[in-house]
Parts: sequence; C-alpha cells; structure tokens
Amino acid sequence: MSLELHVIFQIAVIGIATAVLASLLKQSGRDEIATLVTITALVLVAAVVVTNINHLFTEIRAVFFNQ
Amino acid sequence: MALVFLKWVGAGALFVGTAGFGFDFAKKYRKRPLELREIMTALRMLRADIAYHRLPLPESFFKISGYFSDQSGTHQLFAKTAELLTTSGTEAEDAFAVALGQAGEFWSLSAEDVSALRQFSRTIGNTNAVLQESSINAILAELADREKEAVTERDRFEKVYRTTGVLIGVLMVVMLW
Repeated sequence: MSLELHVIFQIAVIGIATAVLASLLKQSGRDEIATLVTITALVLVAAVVVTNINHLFTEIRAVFFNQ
Repeated sequence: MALVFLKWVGAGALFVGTAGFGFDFAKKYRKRPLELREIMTALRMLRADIAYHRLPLPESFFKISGYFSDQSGTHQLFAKTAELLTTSGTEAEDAFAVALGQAGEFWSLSAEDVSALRQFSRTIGNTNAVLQESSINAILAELADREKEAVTERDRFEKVYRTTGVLIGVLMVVMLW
C-alpha cells in the first residue's frame, strides 16, 4: 500500500492558489469572479477526492469479494 | 528517464505559457496610462506649434514624432500622419484618421480612447488656429480624465492579471502531473 502523498500536495496547492486568487479578485472589486473561482476550486478538489475514494472502495471490494 | 524529462519540459512550457498570457494582459493595463500621457505631451507640442510657432502641420507632425521612440504608438501616429500629408496630399483630418487606424497595433489604448482621438481629428487643419487650439484643449482635458481612469484601472487589475496567469499555470501543472 503506497501512501499517495502527491494527492495531498495537489489539494494543498489548489487550496493555496485559490485563496490567493480569490483574495486578489476581491481586492480588485470582482467579488462574483472570486466566488466563481472558489466554487471551481471546490469542484476540482471534489473531483480529486471522489476519484481517490472510488479507488479506495474498489480496493476494499477487491479485498472482501474477489477471493 | 526520457519520459520524466518530457514531463518537466511540458510542465515548464505550460507554466511559461499561462504566466506569459497573464503578464501580457497586465502589460496592457500598465501601458495605457503611459501612452495616454505620451499622446497628451504630443498634443501639447502640437498646440504650441499651431498657436505660437505657426508651423505647417506636416512639419509639426514630423517634428513631434521624433520626440518618441520608434516603437511607440504616438510616434507611429504622428510620423504616419506627416508622411500622408507630405506624400499623398491627403487632408489633415483624413491623414490623422488613417494613421490612427494603422497605429492601433502599437498601443494598448481602449476603443473609447481611439474614438475620442478620431473625434478630435475632425478639427485638425479645418479651422483657424484659435479654434484648433481650443479643440486641442478640449481633447487634452478629456485625455486627462481618461488617464486618471486608466491609472485606477491599472492599480486594480495589473497585479490581478499577473498573479492569475502564474497561479493558473501552477494549478494546471499540478492537476495534470
């Protein structure tokens, strides 16, 4: 079982980049675009997390049902 | 090994591309106030040439174009107008309008700035010195307002576009890694 550190880094980078971008956009008065960016980042992270959870469930299923 | 190298090259290219886009957008905001100031300076020179020195327009336009670097839109506008006035004998109004269209690729002015200059071009060479001077004063006042607005826009958006380009590059590289 490999500890997939890159996924954690990926999510962290998305989080940091979004935080910086959203605060900059808010500063320049584009609040609606800042919200849009935040939501897009949320969807991106959700996609990454869902893919990994799917992977986890497939593994569990393989352990218990494919013997 | 070659695959890893290729991956790094791809990531670098992607990052440089998006960051470049960001910087390019930011450059437009940075250049606009500078260019408006340049045009205002040029128009002040033109006003002095018309009101005090009584220079013929082609000569004045040619002289003014020499004060600005070859790559600047102001140089292109004034040099082209002088060229059209001397070679083809076009009316000053039409020459300025044509030059305005051709200088477009050299500057970052907004469409409204260009249309204000186009509006102004109708008075060049068509009226007496006093009226031309007052029309130059009017366009100078308008350009001063636009310059203030351009500075506000630059302060608001230059940094945003620059950072957005870099961050989108980082995000894409991280997502596709």
